[in-house]
Amino acid sequence: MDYGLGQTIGLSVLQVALVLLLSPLLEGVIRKLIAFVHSRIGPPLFQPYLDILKLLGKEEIASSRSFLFRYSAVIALTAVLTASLLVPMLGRPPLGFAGEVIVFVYLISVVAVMIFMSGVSSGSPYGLVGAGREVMMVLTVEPVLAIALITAAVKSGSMMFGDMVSWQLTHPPSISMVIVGVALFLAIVAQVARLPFDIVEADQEIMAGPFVEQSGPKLALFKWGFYAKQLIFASLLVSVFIPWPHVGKLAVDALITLAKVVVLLVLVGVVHAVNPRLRIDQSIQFFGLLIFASAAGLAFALVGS
Amino acid sequence: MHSTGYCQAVEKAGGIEVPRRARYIRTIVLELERIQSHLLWLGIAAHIIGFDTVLMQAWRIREPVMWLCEKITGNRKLYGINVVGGVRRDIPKAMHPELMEVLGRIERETKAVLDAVVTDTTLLARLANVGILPNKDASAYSLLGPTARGSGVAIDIRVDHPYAAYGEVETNVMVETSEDIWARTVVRIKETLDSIRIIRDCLAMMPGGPLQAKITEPIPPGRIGQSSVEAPRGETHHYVITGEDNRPYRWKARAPTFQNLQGVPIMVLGETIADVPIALGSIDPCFSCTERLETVDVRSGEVKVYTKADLFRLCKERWSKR
Repeated sequence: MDYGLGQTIGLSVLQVALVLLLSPLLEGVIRKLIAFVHSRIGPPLFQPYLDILKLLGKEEIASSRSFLFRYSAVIALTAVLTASLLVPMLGRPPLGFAGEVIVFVYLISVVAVMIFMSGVSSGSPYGLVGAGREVMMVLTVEPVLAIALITAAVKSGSMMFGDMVSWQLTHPPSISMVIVGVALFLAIVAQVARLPFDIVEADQEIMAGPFVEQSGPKLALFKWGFYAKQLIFASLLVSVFIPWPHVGKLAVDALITLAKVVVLLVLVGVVHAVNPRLRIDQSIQFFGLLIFASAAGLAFALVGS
Repeated sequence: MHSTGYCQAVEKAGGIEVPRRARYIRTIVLELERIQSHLLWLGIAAHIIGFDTVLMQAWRIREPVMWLCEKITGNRKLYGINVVGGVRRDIPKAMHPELMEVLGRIERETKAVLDAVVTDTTLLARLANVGILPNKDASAYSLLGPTARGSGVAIDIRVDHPYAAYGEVETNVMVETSEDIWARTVVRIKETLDSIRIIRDCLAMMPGGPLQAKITEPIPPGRIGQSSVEAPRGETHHYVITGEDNRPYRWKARAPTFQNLQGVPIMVLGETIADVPIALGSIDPCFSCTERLETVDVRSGEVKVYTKADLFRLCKERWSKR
């Protein structure tokens, strides 16, 4: 599939702007939902925007002069936004090329690496513990993500998200896609640092871990990156694994996708609200089992069901 | 609870007989305090392991108890209801229906929370078989209150050395034997429910009569009075030597946290960082009650205990540098 250069750039700018502007609102929706489960009124829907604005206007206090400490937030947000260009949010990804799935997984790993670096370079023992936890999480969560996407690739016979979506649209749901879809959902809960997998930050244990020394604009970028990640992962799951109904009109499809994303994030919020935090070893055990489960899904895909 | 301990110690020293009605009112207020303290603990413990839904719900359930306490005593906490020889305020018959209504509501809601948490596998994964405090260590270190009872040590001042109206009202010692944080949680929830029953019994059996004993003579100096009260965290002991002019010559209060803290190193031995906050939280610590700061130089093994004057000086030095 080839688009003109102008169309590609236009769609890219539109999608990045959409991710940046919309993701704090979805965070606000999740916060409202959690507040509802807590029997609280909760913060205003637009509070995440205000949080980001406030942090952007604050003075930077750095505990370390290390390059990685200073730029990890920027690199992480850039990686998230670049990854967003590969996700078919508005019907098709702005940057579509063969093998984009692999690039997507790598870009998401960059975020994890930056969180790790931020923790290691912060010079705080809490940061170090958090960085260690981040590595353990990544090593167990990313295989689930990768296997889920490989399964979709095997089913559709293509390494492109756009092909996966069109394949899903023309085929009925299959066992393998359901299994890896559920596994991917749980991996997403971990990826966006929601309970019960909010282990890397764990405020009550290690005081936000890798982010303990981050402040001001850098913290704002990290937070924004997390909000964006939430939106990207949710729209990836709904567009690749639950693409129906598909109308064919860009605006209508975008609205339908948005509705599905909201529903999915509400689910994430519910999981967050009804669970305490797991310990890192329990989480590793859980995702170890999940890797096996999603591998079983992949095996189903390979034998064709 | 501390005021009860102090008043009882002085009453013992002065040989003052507290009227029965006053003892019942003391019991009711003590149990209300236990209810709100245990619900507060439940919320904080849940917060420590990241379970904020339980935090919010536990504190929502707790709030009517605070309102009730305010209605009875004038304060949400630190009730100021005790005086030497009795209590300052009555719980009139007109207040009973409201008390019963609130008690019924918190009983229902606490049971609902209990039902919700016992089936939560993630919560059990965090609390069961974590922070083990063996029975023999709990007795050897003389741990107190729910911390000891969760390890199967059946001690409860309310039953062992009854005071106020506990000798007349049925009081159950809640003991769990699994020795972990979950056991301490279950002990506290069961005690909350038992406290509700105790208050109901007290209201049903409440005798008439005066609220305060008539004290005509000054309390003679040089007498010693001791009293123990089962606080929500465990035994609180008060020791009083009476002095001139109806004033105490010496007064010492020992809160249970200092004792219970000795169990924490055993609980966290070999556990991960993630389990340390909840193991420490499981004793319901009150650090301001521990009264002393001790540092150990790991290299030389030298131990230094800081006095109040030392801490005051250190604070001043630290802040004058800025």
